[in-house]
Amino acid sequence: MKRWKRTIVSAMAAVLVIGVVAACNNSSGESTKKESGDSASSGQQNGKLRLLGPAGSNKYIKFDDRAKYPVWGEVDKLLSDAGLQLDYELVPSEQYSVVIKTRMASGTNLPDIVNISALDNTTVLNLAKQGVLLDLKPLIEKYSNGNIKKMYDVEFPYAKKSTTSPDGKMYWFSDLHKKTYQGKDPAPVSLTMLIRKDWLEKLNLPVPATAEEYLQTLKAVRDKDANGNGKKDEVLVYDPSKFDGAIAQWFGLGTDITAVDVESKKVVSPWYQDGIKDYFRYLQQLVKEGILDTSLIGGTAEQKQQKMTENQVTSLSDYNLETYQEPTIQGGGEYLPLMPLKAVDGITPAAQLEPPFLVWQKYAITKDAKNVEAAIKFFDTIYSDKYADFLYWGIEGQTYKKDDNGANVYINNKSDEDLAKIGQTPGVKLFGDTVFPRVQFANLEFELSSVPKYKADNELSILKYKPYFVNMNGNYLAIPDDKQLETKTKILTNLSTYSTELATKLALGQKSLDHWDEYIAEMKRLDWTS
Amino acid sequence: MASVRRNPNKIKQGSVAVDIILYAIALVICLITLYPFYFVVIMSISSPSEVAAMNVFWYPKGLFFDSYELIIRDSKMWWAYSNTLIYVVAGTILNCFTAVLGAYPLTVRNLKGRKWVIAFLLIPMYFGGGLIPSYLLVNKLGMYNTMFAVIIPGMVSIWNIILVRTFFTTIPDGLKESAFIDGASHWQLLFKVILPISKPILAVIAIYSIVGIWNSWFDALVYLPNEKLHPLQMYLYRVVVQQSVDLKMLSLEDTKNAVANMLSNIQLKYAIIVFTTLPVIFTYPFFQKYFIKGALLGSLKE
Repeated sequence: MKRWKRTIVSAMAAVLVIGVVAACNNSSGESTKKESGDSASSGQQNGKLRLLGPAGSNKYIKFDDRAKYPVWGEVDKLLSDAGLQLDYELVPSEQYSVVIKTRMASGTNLPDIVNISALDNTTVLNLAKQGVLLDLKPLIEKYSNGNIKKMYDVEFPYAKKSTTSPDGKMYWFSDLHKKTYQGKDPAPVSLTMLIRKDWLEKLNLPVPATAEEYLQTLKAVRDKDANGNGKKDEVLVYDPSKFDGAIAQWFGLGTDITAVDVESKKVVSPWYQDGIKDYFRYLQQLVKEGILDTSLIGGTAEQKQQKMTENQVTSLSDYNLETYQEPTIQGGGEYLPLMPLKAVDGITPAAQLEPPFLVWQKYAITKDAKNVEAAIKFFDTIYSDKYADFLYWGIEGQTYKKDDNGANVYINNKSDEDLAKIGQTPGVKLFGDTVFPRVQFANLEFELSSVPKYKADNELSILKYKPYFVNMNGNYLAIPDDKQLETKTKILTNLSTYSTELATKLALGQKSLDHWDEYIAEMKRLDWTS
Repeated sequence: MASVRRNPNKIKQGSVAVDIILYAIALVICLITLYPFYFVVIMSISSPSEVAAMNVFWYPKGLFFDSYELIIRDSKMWWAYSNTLIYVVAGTILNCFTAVLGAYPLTVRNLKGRKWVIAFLLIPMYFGGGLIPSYLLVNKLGMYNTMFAVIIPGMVSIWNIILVRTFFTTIPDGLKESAFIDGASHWQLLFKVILPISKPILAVIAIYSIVGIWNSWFDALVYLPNEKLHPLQMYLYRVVVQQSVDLKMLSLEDTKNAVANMLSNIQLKYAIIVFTTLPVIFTYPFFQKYFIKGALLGSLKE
């Protein structure tokens, strides 16, 4: 017995010692995937930089394995030619938000360049005020070789506007995305109502051309038991608590509690638009008929996915060019994107678009940057045409080629697992959104070639469609100043809650439209600036 | 002969009816408690499409063990497992050590300011320093991104000290006095007299620490950006977070990846839950009596 005890105690002591030694080793290594840069191996060691960002979440294509991807070799050469030697500190993406918030709030242990996308504008501007983040404009003026300016002034002029803070300074660089068709036309994609094409064909139902026909079609699909399981369980998945499902736009409504009408350059609110009452009457009908699945209101993506897999979703709001839903349906299926449907006389149905120009993510230079010239050189390298090509398209002949019209198209339209095996991937999957901003010159041609014809046709029809609202309103709004931010925060918290609750209750018929004026009066009371 | 009046409504002790009712209630409670575990296990071995469709309730559908294979093959999981073992063993030993050393002086009657020290110890039980000050402290001490960041801040538990102290005060004074009469010092008294008869309380603290450390992930989330130092629960946390992405906030391209991630994780998370919980579940029956003892000790007042 005593011998047993001794053995156990010795084993525990050994583990304790091993733990301590392991901890010591890690402290000396500081190894948060902190990897010495591959760049500047030729001896141009003047541009040492520490970069902190989230690791990519791709399960197969990993930054750790970058050496095996030719595209990394090319990007590394660009960085090396710029004389940069980079140390990467990549934190698992699921953990990054907490790590960066804590580190920035403490103001210690900061790198030279940091991905601060997890921080909201208020926090970033506060950090800038405290001097934790540097103003980039004078640094660009002083050290840039012109690449940054070219990208921000010529290629993506809207990016400058949406990243300049109210004090006229610029505290972060961004991901920049532009999608064109035939080399010049801006190419938005739409978020629209999708309907089961195979069920319409099976039941010999025409594609609905109006909102009323849409309702009758959903009813018919359910009544005729399109999925053949003996139950009337074919449903519409739609969240009426917000206005970002495409049905709201059929009634001419904006996509959020305050939305940007890009064409008329106005900010609108669906609550004050003409079609709002008809919209709720329509939703009430959908609920009354049992078509809209009310159990999914406010549900998680996983719950919605469950319905999809169970082969019960007749219609839902999603991207018109999506191809990721169909493989998840048990037994298979096809979704047809609908054009905006006419719902009310006198109101032209609007489309909901993802803007062809996107600005997102934030990459900043911190007060601890010892070599700001090198930091600017890094961004000059990023905002170059070569890098943009490597990032989005990869290497010509290996990952992409030119089609007959000269547009880039990917060669290997394979799964990530297969791409990882053959080591052929564009840079975006390998290092995009980590510490490397995404600069993307996308085109519609490739997307059209990789979706069924009926989806491509819908996209071509939507290209010039008007009127429209956008799904990313923030892209069109300036950064508010301190006072505006404070006001906005104060108002929006209560107003958004009220709006969400009211919209849900109106749609479910739990509140009557007869008391409309009272609801609006309450909303105006909450929005004390109006 | 006087007859004994019997109350027909009285439920007799040892009545079969009562036994049946009590057993039925106990059975229902057992089922309610055990079903979630059973549910997770059958989900973890059912086909991913059946899991995504939530068709699994009573038995596994379409046996599927690939998730376990994936986990077993994942070197990150084994890293996390070994890290957790290190955190648990080191944390438990240190917790027992500090609890004993912290508790003993507080039982010495003629120690000056003993009551003040006890009052002082109670303060951090109710008030914490906050996340940022804690982060600054860990960082300044050079423990950020090392195993120490998880082990050291958690090595002293005031609750454990109070438990041990309560236990020590139940030891008869005569025993201590006789040890002193025999010429023992405080160290000798503690390690040669008191500790050998304090195994129950050490077992209580050990099991509290093991379970607590095994299930903890927040310290790792804040202080350990290096995934090679992550404990097992962080591994699970990451899988769950990957799945709770708001798809509406993503562009078309990013949505494709997020949906793929979400789908592959729906079933995987159940397998990981089984894998991460089993060791602790197996530990419970062996330490159950100590848990009860721990609860009783906590309820005692001086």
